[in-house]
Amino acid sequence: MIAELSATLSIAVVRYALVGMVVAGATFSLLGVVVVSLHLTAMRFMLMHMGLLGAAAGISLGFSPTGGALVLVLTGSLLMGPLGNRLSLSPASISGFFMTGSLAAAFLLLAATGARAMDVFGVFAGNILMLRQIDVIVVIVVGIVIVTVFVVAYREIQLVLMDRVRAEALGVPVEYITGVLYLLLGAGIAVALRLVGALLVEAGILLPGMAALRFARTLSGALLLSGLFGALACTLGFFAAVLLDLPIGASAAAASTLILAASLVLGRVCGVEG
Amino acid sequence: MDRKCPGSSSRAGSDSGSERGRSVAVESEDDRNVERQETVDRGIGRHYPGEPVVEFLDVRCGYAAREVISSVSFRIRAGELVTLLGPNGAGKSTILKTILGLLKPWGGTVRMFGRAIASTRDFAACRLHMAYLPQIQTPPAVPVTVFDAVLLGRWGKHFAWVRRPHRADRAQVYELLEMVGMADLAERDLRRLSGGQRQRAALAQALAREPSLLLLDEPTTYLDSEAKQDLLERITELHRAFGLTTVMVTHEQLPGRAFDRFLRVEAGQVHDLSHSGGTG
Repeated sequence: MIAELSATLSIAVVRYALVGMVVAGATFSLLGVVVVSLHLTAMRFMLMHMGLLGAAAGISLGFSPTGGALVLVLTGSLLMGPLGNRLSLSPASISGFFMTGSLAAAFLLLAATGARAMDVFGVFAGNILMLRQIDVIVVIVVGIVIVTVFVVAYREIQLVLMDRVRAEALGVPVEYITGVLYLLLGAGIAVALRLVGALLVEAGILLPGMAALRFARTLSGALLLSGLFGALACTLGFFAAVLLDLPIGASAAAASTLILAASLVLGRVCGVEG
Repeated sequence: MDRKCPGSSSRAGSDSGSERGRSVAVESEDDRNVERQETVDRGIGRHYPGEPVVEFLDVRCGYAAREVISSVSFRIRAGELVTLLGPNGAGKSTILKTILGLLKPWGGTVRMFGRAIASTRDFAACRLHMAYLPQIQTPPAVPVTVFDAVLLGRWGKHFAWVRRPHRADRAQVYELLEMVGMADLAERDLRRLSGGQRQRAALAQALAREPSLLLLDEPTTYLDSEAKQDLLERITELHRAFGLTTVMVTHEQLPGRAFDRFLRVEAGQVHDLSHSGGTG
């Protein structure tokens, strides 16, 4: 088994995949704590649907579907904060609006141009074994930016997640901070879609954050645990996929689900829920 | 209780109120002139008892296209404990949010600490001397200890961004937790506390800012009568001990003897019920 693993890891693209997954799992998962705390689950779906529209536009109009998805995901995350503030709508309402609109526009576009809908969904499967060195660098850079934002603005993010109104009363630039968090979430989702498709978005971002919040007693504890669970899920998923010849994204998502399930059971049995 | 505000040595000109009142009485006229010059220089946050801290002159404000307060004028002086009383939707919280700078006035003049407020920058400067205690909220979505929650009250004035809290900040938080009777709960998760305990922690958080002006928005709502009584006693005690100017918004009649003045807010208008000559 060790010889088999060594042989597999001697292939450059596999090493890139491992590094990409572990870094994404350890850093993108910090955003999971924000998603759960600010109730942004709907926003995550909205961004994925906007990605779908971008991919549909790419296929229909003859440019890169992946590029189209990335551009619309990032645009959606940028628009989210200002639109919500301008229209006095919650992230869930704005997400519902864009999610439905994107899906409708994608199908209308596909119908009008006669493109195959299944080609669009291929973008969401991702392919980590197609990773190039530059893709790994992008993952590392986005990961470093995420960690840096949490280190520099730790108290400010803590205030916003704790109580938005009180944060505003203290003079915290709440709109800017939520805008940056939305943008990071968009970048995380865009990169994760490119890597292993929609499945790693769950495995690497949301589920570790949910598991961490079961145990942590402080925000820093939740962030650390989330990073740890994310890295663990991606590592376990990667090795399970290599050894058992399974799809990597699905294996990582399964490992992440198991970690969340274990945290739910352990939290209940041991009474250590945060 | 120690009647000196924690951290008063480091307070940038916010040592107002009763302590200030006693010391002013023995100061010479020259000293007062020096102090007054310093007041002018610093602009915000220094005041003598009786000097206006909050002044509204014909202020109009609201949300979107709906005007909530119309042509409101009143004055709150340093060291006063004032209650803004009125039914839900009367405009009490709008007044509080305007004082805090969370809402921009549509018209009229807002003067804070003796200075007309013209820009968000002015409000930002004033916020360093104000603290806000909202009505009881649902428990936070993220885990946060009581200690951390109180420490965060010092944000912007004592630490922010890469400027981290110092040992002195932590010492003051412990002192405040002692004052509100929560020292033994410092490491407890805020989400695990009762409503009354969370409000006491919020009071400590507000005081951690070492404010001159304390703004309380329905702080006793949803508390049982025992917790309500306990919180009100602590508020009046700390108001006196720290010499704060305190403005409390409430929709229910509270025991009156602790308060200096009642301002009734009704249909976007303010009426002084105590006839103490304090209205604008």
